[in-house]
Amino acid sequence: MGYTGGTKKNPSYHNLGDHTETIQIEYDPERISYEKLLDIFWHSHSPESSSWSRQYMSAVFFHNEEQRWLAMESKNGMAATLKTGIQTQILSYTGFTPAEDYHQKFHLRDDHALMEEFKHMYPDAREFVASTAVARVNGYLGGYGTMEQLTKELESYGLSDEGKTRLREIVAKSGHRREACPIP
Amino acid sequence: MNIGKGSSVLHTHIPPIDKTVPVKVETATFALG
Repeated sequence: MGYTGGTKKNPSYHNLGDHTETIQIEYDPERISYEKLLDIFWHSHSPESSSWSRQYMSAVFFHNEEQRWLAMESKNGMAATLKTGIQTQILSYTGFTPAEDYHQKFHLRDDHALMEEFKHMYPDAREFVASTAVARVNGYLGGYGTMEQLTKELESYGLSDEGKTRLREIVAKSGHRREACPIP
Repeated sequence: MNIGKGSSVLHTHIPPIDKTVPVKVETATFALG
């Protein structure tokens, strides 16, 4: 998570300038396509809603011409499906400033036990943020992913037996769960 | 669960999922409102 699209140097949460809050994903296109990421993106926000501020606007920040074309194509498809104007913008990527540590992996930070396990695995904050295991567990704690998906992946997260049991119990107890990204 | 002092479940390893070597890495950036 971080800040993108503005001109202010060294933005921070309390001094954001003209930047927008964004998520930045490093992915292997051999495992998940940009089209699939766009599909998840369009179904993870309300593209017909106007934003109240630049901080919280909806946008795709394309990194190259192929991404720009695919983003525009998917936006046109979404407009045809919704039969309404799309407020989500397609903008050129101009840089990314990572947000402060306390803004990263929000749901995981609320779970002391699981957070402690990952902090022990990744004492370096940059490695913690870059971890796929951390991202997956944060997603499950945030209501994404099914028990079936979790069961397939759980052993790959490096958690203790207690941690695995805890995560399974949390997922089992929660109600409606949204689909997670396919395993990377 | 107490993962702190005295726990026998401390891990110093890298999670298996994080050992996966990507064939190629690309970057995507989204703002979700």
